[in-house]
Amino acid sequence: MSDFLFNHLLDDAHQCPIIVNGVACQVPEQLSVAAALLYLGHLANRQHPVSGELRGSYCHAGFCFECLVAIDGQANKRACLTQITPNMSINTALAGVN
Amino acid sequence: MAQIYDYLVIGAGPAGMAAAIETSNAGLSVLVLDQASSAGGQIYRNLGHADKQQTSVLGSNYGAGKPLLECFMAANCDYQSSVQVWHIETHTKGFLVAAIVAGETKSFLTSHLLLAHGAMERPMAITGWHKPGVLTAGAGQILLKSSALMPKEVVLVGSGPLLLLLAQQYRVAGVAIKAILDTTPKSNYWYAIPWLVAGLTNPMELFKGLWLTLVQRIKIPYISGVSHLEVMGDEQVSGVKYTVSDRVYNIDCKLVMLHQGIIAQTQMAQMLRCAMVWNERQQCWQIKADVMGYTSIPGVQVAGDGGSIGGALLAQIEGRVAGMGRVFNTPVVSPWHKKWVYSWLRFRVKQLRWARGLVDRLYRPAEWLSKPADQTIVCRCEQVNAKTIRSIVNSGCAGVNQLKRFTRAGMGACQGRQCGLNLSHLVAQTQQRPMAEVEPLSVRPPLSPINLGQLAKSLRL
Amino acid sequence: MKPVKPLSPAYDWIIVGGGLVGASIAYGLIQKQPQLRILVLDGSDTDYRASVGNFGLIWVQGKGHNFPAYANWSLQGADLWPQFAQQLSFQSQIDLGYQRQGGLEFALSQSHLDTLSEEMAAIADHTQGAFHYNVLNREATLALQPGLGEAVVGAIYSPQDGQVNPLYLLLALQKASQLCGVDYQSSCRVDTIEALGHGFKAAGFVGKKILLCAGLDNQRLGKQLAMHLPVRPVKGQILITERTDLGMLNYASPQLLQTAEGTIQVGGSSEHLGLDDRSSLDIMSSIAEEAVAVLPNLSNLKLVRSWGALRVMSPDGAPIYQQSKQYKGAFGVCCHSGVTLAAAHAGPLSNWLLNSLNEDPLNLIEAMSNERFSI
Repeated sequence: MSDFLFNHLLDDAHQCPIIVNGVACQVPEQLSVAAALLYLGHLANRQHPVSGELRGSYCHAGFCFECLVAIDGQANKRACLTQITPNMSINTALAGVN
Repeated sequence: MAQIYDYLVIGAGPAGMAAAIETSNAGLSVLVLDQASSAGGQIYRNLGHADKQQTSVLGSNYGAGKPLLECFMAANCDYQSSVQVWHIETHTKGFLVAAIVAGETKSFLTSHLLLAHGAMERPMAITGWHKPGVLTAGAGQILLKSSALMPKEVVLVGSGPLLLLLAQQYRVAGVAIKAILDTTPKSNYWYAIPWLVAGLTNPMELFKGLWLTLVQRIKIPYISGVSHLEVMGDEQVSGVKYTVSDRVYNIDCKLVMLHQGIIAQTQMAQMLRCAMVWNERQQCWQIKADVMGYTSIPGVQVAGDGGSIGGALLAQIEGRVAGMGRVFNTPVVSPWHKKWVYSWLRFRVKQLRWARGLVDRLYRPAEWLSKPADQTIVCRCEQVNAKTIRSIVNSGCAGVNQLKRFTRAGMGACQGRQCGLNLSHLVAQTQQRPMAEVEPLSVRPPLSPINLGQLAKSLRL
Repeated sequence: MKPVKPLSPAYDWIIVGGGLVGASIAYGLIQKQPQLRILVLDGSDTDYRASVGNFGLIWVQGKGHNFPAYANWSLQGADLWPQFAQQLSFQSQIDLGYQRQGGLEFALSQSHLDTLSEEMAAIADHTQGAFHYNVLNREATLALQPGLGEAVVGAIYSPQDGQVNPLYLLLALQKASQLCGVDYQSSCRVDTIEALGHGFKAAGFVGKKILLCAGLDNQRLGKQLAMHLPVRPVKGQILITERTDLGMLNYASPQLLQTAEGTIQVGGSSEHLGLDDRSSLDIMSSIAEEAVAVLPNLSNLKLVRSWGALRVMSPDGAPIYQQSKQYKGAFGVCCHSGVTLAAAHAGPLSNWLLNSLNEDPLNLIEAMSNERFSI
């Protein structure tokens, strides 16, 4: 999961502290939770309830419901429609992570 | 007693903003509800807060929304951002719109409703499209606009103006585009020639489009005539397999962005039981509406890409026309206004819709993309593949709604947004009926999730 | 889809309506007499279909407390279910999700519990004690279903209740019937039925006998065959939550039910609004309110789906089984409990349709004719 596949356009962006799966991280401000997860290299954010396959954010517009994660203790929130806030706690729903 | 608005607009994109400006200027009480955290819609997403560097990458069409956005922010209407509308129903006082705002349930009453909720990307059900690492081109643009995020390296797949625009923006931003795999059927170029006349009525856009198309072809590894796409990889994307002229190729990559045009969103209108029509030119269902945007349900209008796909400029004009339509029979609209301004706007709507025909024909999705391979997951939410769907349709089920009950396809959280169109295609193909005869998937609440606890506490009006 | 030629020789039976009632009977008839030529005419994709808006209970509690024949018929139907389910799932290779784990109806007030107990006593009386039930106080209810809210004062428990996935039941019936040779025609609207003397003609097809299982349309079609089939729509709204841990609910209940997939079904509304199956905020909200009152843990579960469906209701809520007096060979079946009675419809009712009176020793079916409305 340490594969960084995304860049931030602005070099001087302010950083915002968030906690992903219990690990404290710094990400640029003004990201959606789904964007923050991509930025940190998490392409997958949950397991499909039927098949157990990994799934990741897809449409980033609130249509597809693939980006569901637990945010500040609330399960199955759409990560793409939620903006990060300082010290927000995000948990992906992957086996072995929680 | 809750306030009953004269006009409730869903969506703060070009259409919604223009309609809200028009009606609030005429003195109506107007409420605009929008899903995003700031106004602008998909096209002008985050424009109010975008950095200069972002604006320059995103190009001139993005910045062009500034005057409208400023005018909207100054208008005398109520505007609520980050609103998730989950239910709409007809009510003795007009319409009731139920939504979640900041975790709380809220209900709004209005005598008239404008659906200006925009469009969504056409689902592109290719094998492996559900794997982590596959995003849509729209997602790519949203990441750029809202989060200033871009991939280091990506393969762009599909067809349509948005894909080319994203390629352009990524190129300017320095993203390594490994390839564009263009699925536009070569025959489309021939079929589109007669539409050039229509396109010429909007020469500026035609020129921009041509330039966009040519530049990408010169500057990026551009592979056209692509078919039989398959996203490879076990748990995550490892590459894309594709066919050109009967030869199979592989390209390694970890990120793929798919796109094959956009389609109208019809969920809210369907929930209200507005009549739908199949638009053969745009290959999607649309809300049946007249030029003023009035649907088959009195008091409900539609404007912008949520009605007929036509882009930001057309959406803005349609929004204005819809707003004018709302106040048309009141004294605020002068006879001069009625005669000249309204007629001119109506003419522009018709003309721009006609001009759009060129784009519609040129980027009409390839037929093979509506015929997913048996192993392709069509319904992502319930993990139902095309084989299961075909076998149930073959056993004699009447249509998509029966199909949904027997296979669970379309029952998931996305409410059939990602599979509905493809389910209908599969039914139409298997039963050998035209799409116009197949019913779309019916829509039931909730349009977005709500807890039972929140629902129990919903304010009843 | 099986190609069916409109001009093919007469069918033995034409069944108008491919919902649970029509499909159960088609399946029953072909099991009894495999040589029968049966045609099921099913409606369009967007028709009002009670069969697919169903809760999926196989429910004996509360059925027929004011109608002894219906009480006995429901119990008989529920008792036939285990064998029926086994045979049907074997033939169709579809898991129906059938369980007879027992059912609970929760009471949120003492007066509600008292009313329910009186009804249960009446059913037990009608069935000569064959219906088993217990009136549970709060503690006894909690022992069966932990996590109940403060508002629950007690419940009725019956070990004879159960559940099934109604959608898979319908699919299995259609599949098994077709495998046995039943012809099935979808998207087929029946406007008129013609009595020909030697049979009946519907939608261009000719059959010796005709059976109306068209739900709410039975009233209209029945008239054409001189049958009074008084049914009207009663709307029920249902909510479905996201999947959650299996075992959250131990028993079936008309208020709350956990499906094999893990989703929780919430229901229990009843409205008389004519042909309108739309969901409405006030009802959805009150259903949710009751569900959360029964089981507060549900409040954090997300609603993923909801729908309204129209029950096919006779004036007294019990089924109607009728043969036309004027046109022999024309029958009508109207009923709102197509799941509970599926086994009864595939079994004793199919026998009755084939052999008439001989197969109804207890006179249950005859007691449920429409004559009861003409007094």
